[in-house]
Amino acid sequence: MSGIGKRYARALAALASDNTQLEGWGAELERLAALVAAPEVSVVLESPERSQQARIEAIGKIVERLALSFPVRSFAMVLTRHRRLTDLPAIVQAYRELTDERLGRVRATLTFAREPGPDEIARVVDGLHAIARRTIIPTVKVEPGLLGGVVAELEGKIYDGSLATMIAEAERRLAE
Amino acid sequence: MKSMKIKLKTSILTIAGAMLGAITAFTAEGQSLREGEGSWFALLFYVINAAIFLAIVVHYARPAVRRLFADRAHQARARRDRAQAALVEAEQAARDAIHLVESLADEKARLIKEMEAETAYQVKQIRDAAAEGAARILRDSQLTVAAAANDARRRVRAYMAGVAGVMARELVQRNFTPEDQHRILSGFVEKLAAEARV
Repeated sequence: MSGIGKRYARALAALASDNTQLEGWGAELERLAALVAAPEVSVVLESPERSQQARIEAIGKIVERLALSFPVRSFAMVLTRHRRLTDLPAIVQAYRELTDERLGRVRATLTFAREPGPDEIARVVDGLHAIARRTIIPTVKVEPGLLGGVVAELEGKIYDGSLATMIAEAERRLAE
Repeated sequence: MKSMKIKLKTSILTIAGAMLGAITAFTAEGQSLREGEGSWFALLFYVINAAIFLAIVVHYARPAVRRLFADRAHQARARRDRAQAALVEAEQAARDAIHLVESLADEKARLIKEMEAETAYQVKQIRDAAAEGAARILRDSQLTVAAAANDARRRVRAYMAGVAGVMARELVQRNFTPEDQHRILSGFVEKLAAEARV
């Protein structure tokens, strides 16, 4: 994560008076980032033929369309004036981490072989919660190559409980 | 002494020759007397002639004859001396040859003995080297065979493991049930709990 992203994220987070506001701004930022990253929008915003004023006007229309809150709208304008819109994904990531840290949460990626049921996700999340001792926010992916079981990634660490890995391990032991 | 005897013999022979000549002349005179010719004077004449002849012959021929015989004697002695020296030399050579033959026989015996010893040593060396080579070949062969066997075992195990893996994956894809997933997740959660306790 870039230092610039962290600095901007910290500045916005410092304006939030409570956790609800903090989370709400985070969601707005993510919506803004998704729209700005869209090819048709990014072409307009990043074109060197466009003047700075034209960019500011364009981003003003976008934030209006998205109905963002005043702090987030102002934040977007500041980013545009400072020509930092290209850093928006890094800022969003840094803001998300700051929010998670403040709210005592941690994100985990759960990869299943097939689409999991809510109870399966909940069981794995509970298991990860026991390790992290923080609220787990899961991101679920599906990878059929795993055959069965689950692979969890938490704070850079991989917990592999997939059937594919078990079979590969058995294969390795058989071959020894 | 020897030359004195030769001189004496030569004088006797000369005188005998002269008398024989005179007798021959006398006999011839006698024959003529029987026929009514010749006399003692003739005999004396012939004797004196013969004596003068002999004296001339002895006077002029003697030194040459003496030199001849002296030379012959000298040559004969020289030849004898050389022959004797050659004989001595030949005898020495013969003795040397005998000694050489004897020493050659000894040398031959010594060489035979040495060659037998060397041959025995070389045979032993060759036998030892052959034994060592055979042992090394055997050892290498055993190692090679063991390595090949290990490699073959490893390949078979790897192949079997691969086949087993493929079969396992196919079986899982065909027969995997939600209960299986539930069981696997239970095990996974237990592992997470165990890690959390650590």
